[in-house]
Amino acid sequence: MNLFSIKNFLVLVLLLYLLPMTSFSAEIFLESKNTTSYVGEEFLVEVFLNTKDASVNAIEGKIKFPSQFLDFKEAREGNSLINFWVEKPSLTNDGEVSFSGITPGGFQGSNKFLFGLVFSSKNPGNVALVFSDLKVLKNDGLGTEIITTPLSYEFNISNEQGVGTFENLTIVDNEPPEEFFPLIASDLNLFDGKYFVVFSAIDKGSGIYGYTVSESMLGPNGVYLAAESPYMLKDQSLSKNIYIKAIDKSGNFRLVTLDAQNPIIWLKPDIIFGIILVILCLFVFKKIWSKYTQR
Amino acid sequence: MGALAVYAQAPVVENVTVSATVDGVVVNPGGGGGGGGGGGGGTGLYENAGVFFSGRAYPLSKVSILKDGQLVLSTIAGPDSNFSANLGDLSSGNYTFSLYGEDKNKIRSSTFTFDIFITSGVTTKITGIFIAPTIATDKRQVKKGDNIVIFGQSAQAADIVISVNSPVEFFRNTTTDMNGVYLLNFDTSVLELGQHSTKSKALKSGEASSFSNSAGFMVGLTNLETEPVIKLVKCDLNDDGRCNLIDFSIAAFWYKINLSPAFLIKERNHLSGDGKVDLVDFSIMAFYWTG
Repeated sequence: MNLFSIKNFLVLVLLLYLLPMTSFSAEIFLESKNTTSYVGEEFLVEVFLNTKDASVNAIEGKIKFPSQFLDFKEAREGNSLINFWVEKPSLTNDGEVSFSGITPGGFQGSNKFLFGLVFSSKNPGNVALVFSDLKVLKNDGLGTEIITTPLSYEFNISNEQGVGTFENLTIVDNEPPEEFFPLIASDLNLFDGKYFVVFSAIDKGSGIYGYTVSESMLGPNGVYLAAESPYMLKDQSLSKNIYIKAIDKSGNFRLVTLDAQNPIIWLKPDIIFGIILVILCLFVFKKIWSKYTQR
Repeated sequence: MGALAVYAQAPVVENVTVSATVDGVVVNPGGGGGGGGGGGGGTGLYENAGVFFSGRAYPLSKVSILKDGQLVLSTIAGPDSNFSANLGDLSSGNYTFSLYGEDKNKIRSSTFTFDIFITSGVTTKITGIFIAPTIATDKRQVKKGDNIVIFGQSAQAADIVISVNSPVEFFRNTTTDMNGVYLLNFDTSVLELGQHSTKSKALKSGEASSFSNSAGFMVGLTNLETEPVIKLVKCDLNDDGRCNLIDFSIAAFWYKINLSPAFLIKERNHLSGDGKVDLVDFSIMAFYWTG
């Protein structure tokens, strides 16, 4: 057997050895409509996961990009299979987007959409988006890590400004976020045992922009403050209704009301006026009656 | 403000059969009448979608349905174990639905989860759901050679396959009664000393459920009864018997920061026990999630 055939044989043995291992590994990859971008162009890159044989319930990682070539514009997590974000995809360092989230019950299969990233090309050159610090965990109650192959995404930025088909990245979203179910709780490990409310809405279109909360006895038209979950309640007596608005990135909103747990019974002004009038009448009647009986 | 609109559209129904024993979903487009309708949203006009669920649980048991991890509705199965439920006001998009049952002893089944794309204006029918049986044992430690009682609940008059895990896996068969209850006396003389676990699955009318959660027990030199109160231990940071957004929020507060002495105990008892809150803890939560 000559040297070449020995080498081939060893490669074959190695491949046969690795083949069963690779079938258990997941694969995370990036996809975009264009392989070439143009200076000044904004484009969308989407992140997908192939879980292969495993059911996955948690994922975290970073996507690194050369900031001398690209500006990060926004993350799009609308319609993601991730239900709860520990860290929403966002710019955490120069040239680095971090993400971390879970899906209760897990998911399994190929081309599972995680989120999208919008970049703007600013200088010509060859560019690569690469994953780092990746963790994909099995839905087994133990948090077992799954071997995951990260596939980087390479493309070229052309110098020809204004050339090319600029992708229309506008999301047409007329639908409010999905109905959501806030919960009130208190726990010594959070806010020193004070009452707080937790909430998490999902928007299948443009994604959630943020939340506002109003604690009011006067209905849903009170003052709303920007809020994040968990939100410590200002009214610790729980005597006010809590109104929570989930707002998506297109400006649609879903309003959810939590009725006061210990409501103070309030009377309408006209009823209060009526009661005062009756008391006054009784008082006057009593005065007149006492004068009448003294005669 | 957009005008409120009422749609008059052709009824659209999409049938989906979900089998607990087959990965993924089988889509059978088309189908009969029903469904349809829709309405205007507060911020614009859109066509709502809906989902219809049906399948088998346990007689008169509570079935909980989670949409994207949030408990959206509960229903009670009939005396024949069958249940059905409708969910409306959905947008078009990817959804993760999870279902679990709760037996007469308040023991929860394993969660059956699947993801599906819901089409705008279409009612999707998801049928053939078979909730896995519940399982428990009468002893947490059994004296080698004594019997251990393995019991639980499933659909009425179903065949139950019980697996007892050891270096050699033992399988036993039994059936449920009209209340869906099954019970098996397992002779532990065939088991080695040490930790073991058991799980079960149900078969009825050619359909099979997935395996139940595992119930652990020890084979030792004495018998120790199982504690009568069955309480969710993992994930339940606020001890309310549930694993949901409250527990997630408490854990997220301590994510990647030093834990207080009080929370260290919680982390040890309810999460991974490694003295920190990281993705592994959230993965444990996602597994035990009840919504």
